[in-house]
Amino acid sequence: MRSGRSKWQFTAGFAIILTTLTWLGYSGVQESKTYYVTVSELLESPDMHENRLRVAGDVVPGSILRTGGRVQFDLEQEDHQLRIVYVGTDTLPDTLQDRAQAVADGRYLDDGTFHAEMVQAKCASKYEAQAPGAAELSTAIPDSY
Amino acid sequence: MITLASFSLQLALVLAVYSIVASVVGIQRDKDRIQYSAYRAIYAVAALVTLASSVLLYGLLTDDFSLSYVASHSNRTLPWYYKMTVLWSGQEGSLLFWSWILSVYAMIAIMLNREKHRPMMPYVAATLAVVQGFFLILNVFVANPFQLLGMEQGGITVIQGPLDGNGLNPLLQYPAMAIHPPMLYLGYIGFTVPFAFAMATLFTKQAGERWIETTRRWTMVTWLFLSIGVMLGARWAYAVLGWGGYWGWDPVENASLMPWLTGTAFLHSVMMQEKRGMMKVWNMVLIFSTFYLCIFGTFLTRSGVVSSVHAFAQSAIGPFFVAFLGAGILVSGWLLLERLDYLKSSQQLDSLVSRESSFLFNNLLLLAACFSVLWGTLFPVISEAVQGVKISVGAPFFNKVNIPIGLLLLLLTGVGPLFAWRKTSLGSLKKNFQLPGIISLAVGAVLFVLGVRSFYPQVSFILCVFVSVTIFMEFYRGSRVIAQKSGVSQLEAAVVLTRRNTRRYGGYIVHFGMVLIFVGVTGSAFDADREQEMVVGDRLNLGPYAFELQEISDSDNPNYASQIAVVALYQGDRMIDTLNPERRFYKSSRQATTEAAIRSRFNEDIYVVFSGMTDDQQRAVIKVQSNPLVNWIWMGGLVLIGGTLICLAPSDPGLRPSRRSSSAGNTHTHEPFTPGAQPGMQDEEKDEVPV
Repeated sequence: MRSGRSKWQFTAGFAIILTTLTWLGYSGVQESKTYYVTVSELLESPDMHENRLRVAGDVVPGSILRTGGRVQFDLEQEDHQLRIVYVGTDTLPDTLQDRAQAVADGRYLDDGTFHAEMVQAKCASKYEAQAPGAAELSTAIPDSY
Repeated sequence: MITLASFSLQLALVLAVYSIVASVVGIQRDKDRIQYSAYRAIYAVAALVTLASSVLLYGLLTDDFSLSYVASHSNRTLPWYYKMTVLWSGQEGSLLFWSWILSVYAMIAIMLNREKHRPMMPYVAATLAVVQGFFLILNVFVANPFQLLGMEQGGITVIQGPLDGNGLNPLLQYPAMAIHPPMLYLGYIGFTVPFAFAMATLFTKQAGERWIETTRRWTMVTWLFLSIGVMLGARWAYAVLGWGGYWGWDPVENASLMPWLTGTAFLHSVMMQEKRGMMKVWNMVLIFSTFYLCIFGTFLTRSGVVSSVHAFAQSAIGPFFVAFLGAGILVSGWLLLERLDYLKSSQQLDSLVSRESSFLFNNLLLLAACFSVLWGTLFPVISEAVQGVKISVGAPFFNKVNIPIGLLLLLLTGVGPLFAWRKTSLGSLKKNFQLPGIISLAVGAVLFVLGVRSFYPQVSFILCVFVSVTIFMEFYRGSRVIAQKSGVSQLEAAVVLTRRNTRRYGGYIVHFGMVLIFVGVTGSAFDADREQEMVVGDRLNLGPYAFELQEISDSDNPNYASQIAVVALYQGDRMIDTLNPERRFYKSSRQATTEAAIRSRFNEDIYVVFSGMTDDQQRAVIKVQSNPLVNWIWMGGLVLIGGTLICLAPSDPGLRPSRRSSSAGNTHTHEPFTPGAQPGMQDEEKDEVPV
């Protein structure tokens, strides 16, 4: 820089911007941080109630119930089951089906249910599975065409 | 045929390795013949990978379910155009597609530059071949798309696939989704070429202007593809996922945004190097970051390192990417430190109110945005490593940081291009910003009276008006001079003005596209929605609208069965439209999807979703949304594309308008028209907007 003044101005400008953004980032993290927990961890830890949580598991077949704006289903992970209740206006993903891997964000209530504010579901894993009865072969075999 | 394809991939890998070795040996021995053999090996790689990709495509189009990839991702009833998209819909195919695009890019880059930049090209070829080799290793050893399926018959395994495949994920059966991945890939992979030129510059100890001149256009095309890819992704999310939004800060979305942010920073900061010989090291860092973020994005969607709803299946390729990224960053970082002496700036910053300063702040903000997105995306990984607890952050974090960044960038979009290089005088500031300032504040006051009183939307609209007026004034002033001198219409003069300096005026158009996108995004602050269970004849009210469920009908075709809700839209007592949201059930994949019905207008979208029937099958769950101004986002995207294409067109500084009035034309026959030489504009400003 040619002048000490411009250098000072640049440094001050950069510092103000970065400090503000860091503060915004910090408060954003505090506001939205969500702890990943397994279903068993959640059922065993009573101190989880205060935090925003994310649980993942497989949807128990036949457990999805839609009544009014409320959708209820059970998530299963390593032989533990958790009742998820979603009440809201967001359309739940089409991929939320029996046996789908689902993720719920929300809070664990005293009555033992998980109050979800957001539900996501992955496509059922069959997309990457082999065809029934088929075995994958290496390619070092004669042409099939 | 499949063996041939597999073999061609293996041979391509061998040739990529040969190309690296031949380039290095050619450089050491200074033998043109060896160097040229390296280039020819790269052409051969392109031919071989094209062959392999064609075989997979043929397999997809002819329903060859003996190929595991085809059986897993396609099925007979899929329309042919979606069968083609399966090429990049699964893990193995998409990595082959990556390899294929890179091989073609590498071939074009070498063909175009091998004579023009002879000393650099062996290094460029070697770098391209290293990246190509990495992806071919994945294609051959880790994610081979040519695995065959077999059946046990009498103790012998014979090649035989199932009668039909699993089908393509229904969510991907949407036109924008068919071209979204190729666009994104063309963007991601294209950055390999400027990266290779940057590496070659460091290897050959050059000062650094040449690689920027050579790759400027290339980088812009790549950035355009990436922009289109990101926009199509947003459009797909809006139209297909049924939640009425277009951006959810999902890791996969973030993966595409990060290189776009650093790429945008690069396109701006190269101007500092071109005009003032500054930021040479920084530009290297930016292009390296962009390239590695592209690789990182490819890795993020495939490794399962962070959970995402639309990531590929988890696989074992993660460690390969980590190793490649780690080694690449180490080598390029070391090389950059080693060559710092060759990249010293020839100029210094003079004033805070200058073009240079606006670029610096632009870069700071874009990089801060990129860092915040990276930090938020990797927060679960970081928190687990540091605290031992996996924590994620959500949209509030991303919005809180990025909304102010976006608004500051918008402000810079308006003021930056009108600042002079080195230092801007007070008089010039007044001349350029007085009118836009007054108009935008007046519009702000009107909006306040009309009820727009939240802070961010208010600021955003004011800035959008401010930037639009500055852009309009630039076109108006420049074209007025031409119109007055030659007697043509103002509109024709504006066209001439743009053609004389495409980079500058195309850049303004890109900025205007961004303004439209900001208007659209700001509109989301006024979204409203409502959900209701309805039987035929029921009405639902939202704002000035009423929605009446008139009918639920069924339809069927070989690919899917569907239920369609016929919803009449009323404004007051008048029926203004009928919307048909749909629930589809795809037979092959046994998956249901929601097809939203969207009534798109200039000022507002009405978005209706048929979420399904209640469990007793008696009532339809209908959700309606009003999304103001969302259409402006897509319009902004189109304007951005148009502006970038104008920037890519060559300028014609001597272009004269065709004269309509002979007297006006004769008066000024010998007066040269200088591009950008408008009254009230300083000499330093006669250059382009950085796009």
